Amino acid sequence: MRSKPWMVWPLILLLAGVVFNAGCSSSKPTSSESAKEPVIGVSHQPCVHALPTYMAMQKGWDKAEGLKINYQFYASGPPQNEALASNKWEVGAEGAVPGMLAAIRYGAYIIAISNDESETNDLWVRPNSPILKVKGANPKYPDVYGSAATVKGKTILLTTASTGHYAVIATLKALGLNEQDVKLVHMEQSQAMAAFEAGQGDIVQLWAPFDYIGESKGWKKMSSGKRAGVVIPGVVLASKKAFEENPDKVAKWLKLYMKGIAEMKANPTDSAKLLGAYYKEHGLTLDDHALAQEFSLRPIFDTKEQLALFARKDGAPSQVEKWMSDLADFFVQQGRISPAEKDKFMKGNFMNDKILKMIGS
Amino acid sequence: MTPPLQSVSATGAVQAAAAPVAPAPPPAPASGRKAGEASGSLWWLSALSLAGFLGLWYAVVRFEIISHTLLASPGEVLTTFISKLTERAPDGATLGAHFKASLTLALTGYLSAVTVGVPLGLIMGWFRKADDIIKPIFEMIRPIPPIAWIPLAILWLGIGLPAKAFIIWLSAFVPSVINSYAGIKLTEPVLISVSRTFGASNWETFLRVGAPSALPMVFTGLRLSLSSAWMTLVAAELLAATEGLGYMIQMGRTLARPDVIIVGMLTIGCTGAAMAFLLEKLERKLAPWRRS
Repeated sequence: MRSKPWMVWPLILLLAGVVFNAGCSSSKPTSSESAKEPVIGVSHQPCVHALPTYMAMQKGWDKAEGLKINYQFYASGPPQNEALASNKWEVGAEGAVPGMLAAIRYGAYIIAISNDESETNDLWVRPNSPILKVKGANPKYPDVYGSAATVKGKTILLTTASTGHYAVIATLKALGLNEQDVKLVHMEQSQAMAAFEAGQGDIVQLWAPFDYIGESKGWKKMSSGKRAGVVIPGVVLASKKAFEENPDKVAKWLKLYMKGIAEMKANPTDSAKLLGAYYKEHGLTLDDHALAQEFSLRPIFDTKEQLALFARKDGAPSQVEKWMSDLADFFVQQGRISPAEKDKFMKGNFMNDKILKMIGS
Repeated sequence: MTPPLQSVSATGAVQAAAAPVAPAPPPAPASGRKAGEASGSLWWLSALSLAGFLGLWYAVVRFEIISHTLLASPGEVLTTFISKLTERAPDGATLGAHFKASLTLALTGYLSAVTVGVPLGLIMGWFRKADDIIKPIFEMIRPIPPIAWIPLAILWLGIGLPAKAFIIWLSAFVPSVINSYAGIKLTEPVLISVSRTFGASNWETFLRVGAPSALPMVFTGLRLSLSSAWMTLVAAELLAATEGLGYMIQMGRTLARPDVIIVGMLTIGCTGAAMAFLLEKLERKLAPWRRS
């Protein structure tokens, strides 16, 4: 064997391919489904947009609907998208950035909006920060703290290539600054919090639920996506295969999801308790104030409102398309995606209300 | 330096000691032509192995045994590699900038680790008291994964180069200590006795017999430490970064770009291999008796 090393590589790669494909096929969410009760692979994160699915499972709506949910939990968008590429889930909710990338790279469809998280993609400073001394330096953005003079040269801890990054750039723009005027340091959310607490950086970018923890430490919100004039939606996705080959099953799940949203709108107090239980199951304890903010700061949309958001009027782009186009533009400016990829995203009908219409009719 | 000690010191002494335990050198080729044939044949086999690997990689992607969304083709990786030499997209810096940042980080962590680790291992292996004092603490720290130190590294050292270098230092430190320790423990007792018989003090014997005889194992430790340093790079750059090969790989993951990930991985692999090659050259120069 030693004298014929070229024989080793084909064997290794072939074996890897076989094992890999076996792994992928064995993890297909529909492999174990029975004829009576179809199984759907649903992916979520430690986030409020998981609550409708969690609620459906807790209240037994899934069984009543004749659907078995294979619930999958991911810490963030990138591993969730990797699992999508491996065909491990069919529907799920995630942030707008991984949602856009899932559409561009893997052909996933945005079938609904989970919530508007513009206010919970935010920037925080310590209570003694000089940035807090100025508010509304630009009258167009009256709720943004700081000015060009107080923010210029500051170190911002942020998760790059994310919706939080989008909020940071919007804030800098609102203050008449750009990326070159500050020092941006990439960190994951939990590490950014630890570093900021240890005295590193002048501004930290967070998103929910981390920002509630920041608030509990006495940090002050200086800006957010909403305050800086951008809309950051959370998106509900269906894999290309599920959307194109099994829309009825996707519709069954989306019906449950929208039922959950209706319940969250109608009964936020009880829903907040359930959200607290969900977070606790995943190792995060939030107080009542933080849980209440999950409902007060993050607008959610019922089926009728969703259909209006997705509706194109006189050939003009829909509201959802406008939001996602702005986000895609930001990513093109950052060099994270190419203009051709943006075109593919915008023209590929990836923001699609077909399933919403199926359940709305 | 006394004449008797000179006769057993440094290279000469260790060469004499190592000769009986070192594997016999390969038989010299009968002629230059045969030697050329032998090395030529090995080179050809290695090239074929590499070509086979690349061919199969291409085929696996081309025939969709593994989807192209999960694994970029060799051609795609090469294109990305070439574009990354000048382009900052999609991860915010050119490959050269990433490479420079990572090399600075890896070398800072690695060199500081071996500067402390090698002498410490030698001292622990030679001086019983030092071993008794340091070993329990070392054994307790040794199994802790470097990544577990990240939260404390942030608290103690902030988010700049020192914190990241500290994570790499931890991973490179352990192999250099262990191998130096084992190396000096394996010193031929006969040599130690000879050195002492000729009147050398314990410190002199340590410096002139123990440390040189440990060199082959020290170099094994240096190579293992180097691998550990590069392997920990991605974890270290998780801490905080805007440039670096680890950061580039993370961005490739965030943006679902396997080609970017593979370019980062191959750059780390090639750099690590080149540095290991240089280290081997240095070892051959400083410890020629270990050529086998």
